[in-house]
Parts: sequence; C-alpha cells; structure tokens
Amino acid sequence: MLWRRMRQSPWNPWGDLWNLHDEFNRAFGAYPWQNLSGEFPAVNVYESDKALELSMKLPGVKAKDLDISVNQDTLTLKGTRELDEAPKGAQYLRQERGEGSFVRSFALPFPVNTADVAAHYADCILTVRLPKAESAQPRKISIKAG
Amino acid sequence: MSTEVRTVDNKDANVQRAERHETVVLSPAVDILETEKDVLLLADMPGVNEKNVDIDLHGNSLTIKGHRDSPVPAGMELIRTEYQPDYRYERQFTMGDTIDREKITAVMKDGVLRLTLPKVKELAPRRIEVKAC
Repeated sequence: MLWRRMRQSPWNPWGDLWNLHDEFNRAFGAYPWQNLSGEFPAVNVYESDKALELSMKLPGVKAKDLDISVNQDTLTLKGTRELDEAPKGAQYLRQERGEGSFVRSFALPFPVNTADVAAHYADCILTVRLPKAESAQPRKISIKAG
Repeated sequence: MSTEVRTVDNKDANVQRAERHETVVLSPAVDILETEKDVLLLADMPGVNEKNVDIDLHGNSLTIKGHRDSPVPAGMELIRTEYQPDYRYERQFTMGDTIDREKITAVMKDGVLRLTLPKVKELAPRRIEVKAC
C-alpha cells in the first residue's frame, strides 16, 4: 500500500476518506476481487537476476485487441474490450462486465533487451518477459589477492 | 544513482500475503442475457482453463467454480503485487423453473465461461390459433 500513497495525484478533499474506505475494504475483504491499485489491468511483477516478468489479468480481452510496445525504459500496453458475444435480440438481465479501452504504461527500472521481450497470452492472463540488458545484470566481482 | 536495499522486513504487506500462498475466493463478474429460447450466462474467469472449471447443479441452485494452476514463474521472486496470485472463483445462482436443467451446456474459452440455459419447451412463445366456431 505504501507505494500507492507515494504516487502523485491531484489533491482531493475526500482523498483521506476514500483511502480509509479502501483500507477498510481491503482489511475486511469486502471487495477482494478489486484491484488493490485501482488501475486496469492489475499487474504482478516478478524478478530474477536475468529478467523481469509482468503478469496481468485481462478479463474478456481478446489477443487481437491487445497492443504491446516497449522501448528502452517504458512498456506500454493498450487494449480494447468488446462485448460481442451477445446474440442478436438478446436482452440483458444483468450486466457486470465492462466494455471500453485502456492504456497502461510501466516505467522500467533498468534497460531491457527490447529485441528479446516476449509476450504470452492465455486464458486472459498476459505474461510479458523482459530480459535485462547486459549492463543491468548482476556481475561477479573477483577479488584479487593483494 | 541511489540504491534501494531491500530486506524481508520492508516488503509490501501484499507481497508477504502472496508469498504465503493464501488462496482468495473471487466472485466472477457475470452478464446474464435472455433470448427467446434460452438464458445465457457469461462469466469472466481469467487464468482458468476448461480443465479447471466446475459447474454444480443442485435443485434450483447453480454453482460455478474455477481455479488456476500455480502462477509463480520458476526461479523468480514476486516484487510487487496488485492482485493475489493464488485465487479461485466461485459464485452461486438461483434458477427459475423455466430452465430445462437437462439441457444446460457450458463452454470455457479464452478465460470466459459461457453457459447456455435453455428454457423449458412449453414455455417458449407459441402462437395460439383461434378457431372459428
């Protein structure tokens, strides 16, 4: 939660109240399915010495409607979600699934090998693997005997 | 450039929770649509494939469940989280008598569960002819 508070956002007189509301919901699990950050898509970040991996939930988004671009230090994900499964003449009795477009950018903490970035999409989970550039990988420093 | 020294103590509480592999139960978002012949239920269950989905019918109640295989990539460490990686979906619905329970069909494709609940034949709209006497 700390990082969220540190994020820059315009001042909002109700901000503290909403934060409290969010913390309550999180603590008592009122809406556990909501993103902890409120951003779409929600992301989990994994790291190893050699790479960074982002895992995102994109409910109902088709692979063809996703656009991923990466440069030295930014990864941008754009997408659209269309609800086109409804048969003609069908009437909605309940609608909870949303429709629309989204953009999310990630500032990468180190340079990556853009040519080797790989993305995999299955069952609405997007996995992007970003191999660290040589310069960002840990290097063994040998100690010379004096 | 400054260096952030990370220790176990200052890890985000959510990361710590994720590392304990607590499974959270999520309620999938659903759309329910009605056509002349059937009722259609669409549920978003990202991460769930056709092998991991269960549908239970019990009297008037219909329960959909879905789980996901272990999500952690090998040899990697979670450093930031916006959703609990270990989760499963579950939601229960009550059906009316107009649904033909024997003919319910389900398709799980690309993370979306599609249930077709046909209406009982007798209740499908029918034109009643008026005979002259």
